Amino acid sequence: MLNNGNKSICKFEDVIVSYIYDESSVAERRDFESHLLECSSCTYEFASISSARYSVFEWHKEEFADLATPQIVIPYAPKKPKVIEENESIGFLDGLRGLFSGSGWPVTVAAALIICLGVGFAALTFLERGEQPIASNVIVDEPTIPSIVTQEKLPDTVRGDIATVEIPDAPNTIETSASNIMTPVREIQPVKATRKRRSNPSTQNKEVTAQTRNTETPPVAPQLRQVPVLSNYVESDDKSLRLTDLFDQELGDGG
Amino acid sequence: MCAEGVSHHLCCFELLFSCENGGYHEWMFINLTDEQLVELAVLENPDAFGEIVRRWERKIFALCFGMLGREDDARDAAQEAFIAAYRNIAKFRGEAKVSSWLHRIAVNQCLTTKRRQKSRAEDFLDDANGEPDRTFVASPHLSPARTTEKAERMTLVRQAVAALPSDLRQVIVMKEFEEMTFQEISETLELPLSTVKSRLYTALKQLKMKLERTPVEVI
Repeated sequence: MLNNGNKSICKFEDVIVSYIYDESSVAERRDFESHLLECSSCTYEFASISSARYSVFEWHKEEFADLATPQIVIPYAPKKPKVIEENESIGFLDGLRGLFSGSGWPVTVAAALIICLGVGFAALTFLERGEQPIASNVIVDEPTIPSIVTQEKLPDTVRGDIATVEIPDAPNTIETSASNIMTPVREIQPVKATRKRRSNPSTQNKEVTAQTRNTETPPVAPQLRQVPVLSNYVESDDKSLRLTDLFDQELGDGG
Repeated sequence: MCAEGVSHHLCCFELLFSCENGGYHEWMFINLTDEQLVELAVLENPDAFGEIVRRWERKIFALCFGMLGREDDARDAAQEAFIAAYRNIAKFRGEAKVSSWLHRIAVNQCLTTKRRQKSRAEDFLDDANGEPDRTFVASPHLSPARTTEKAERMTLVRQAVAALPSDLRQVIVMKEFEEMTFQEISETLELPLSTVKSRLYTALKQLKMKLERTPVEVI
């Protein structure tokens, strides 16, 4: 039954829409179905509401259901680069990441090149250190004597002393020739202090001192030039004072 | 340091998964709620807002179609609605659900489009209802007479829905086009459940009356 021709006096408005859209509870559904059998106005109301609902449902099915969802394009703003403040310190990794994150491939290529060069240089340095002896383990063999130099006979026990050499006519030639002298190096074992005693070391030291005194060079004339001694050095004949001798002496003195 | 209004765990999520190209993957967002995605989008993460768009674009498009009745207008309105949402995402305070917020923006966009159409129709002396010409494709299963009848009925339904008040039209569109439950409509519109049902009842009743006034004559 309707009042004023529009509104149903039965309070089933909510139940009708819930029933039409199948969202009513079991109890509501049972009560409403039993009510429809008794109330003709609610039956008419239910029919008209269902008809309207079906019209909208049909419209949706016919014109919308098959439409493709539009592709939504959002004009995103470009991302702002991070601004580093003056007082903000960045670490090594941050700097490296910032270097590689820079826009443009030249920056990346340059950074990669720098790193490759650094690694290569470090590798070469390491290899060279492995092949060559360190400076403390090296002695320099005597270079070949240029033909223009006349060498005095020097004691064999003296190494590295200055000899007086007369250069007759070509005073500048010696520099050019000496610069071409190749000085091959050879490796020797580092000197170690041992407890091995030499026979009468004090006497030996005295002999070395005397020999050294005899090698004093005469006064250098103005026309003479000084060049390194180039003698026929034989290591086994070397009786000069060595560091090990000092150690041996101390050990011997100390007991 | 977490940004103001951004929960700490989301801030950590941002730091953990952000990369230089802004590359997020879809699987990262699957378990996030709309509200969490908005928090990430506020941090200028376009992928997070892209996930919001992916979740809601169909429903917003359906809402716009139901409100406007035309596919082209609905596409434009949906596009404009999402752009407006992205531009104003920093103003989203989390007091309402993201779905409610998006629906409000979309409904406002549809009303704006309606007003523009109305003024345009008045300017160019369009037909009385502002209904442009449409092309109907005949169904192979229906006779030409039935096809014509159906097309005319669709036009009447569209016009009847368009003539409803916006609050009633919104409820009926959300129910039929977005296929939302009463509870979802209630939460989206932030209305009591009984109010939603009452509005839908009134909308269908008025729709029925409008359709009965203009019966379709079958030739």
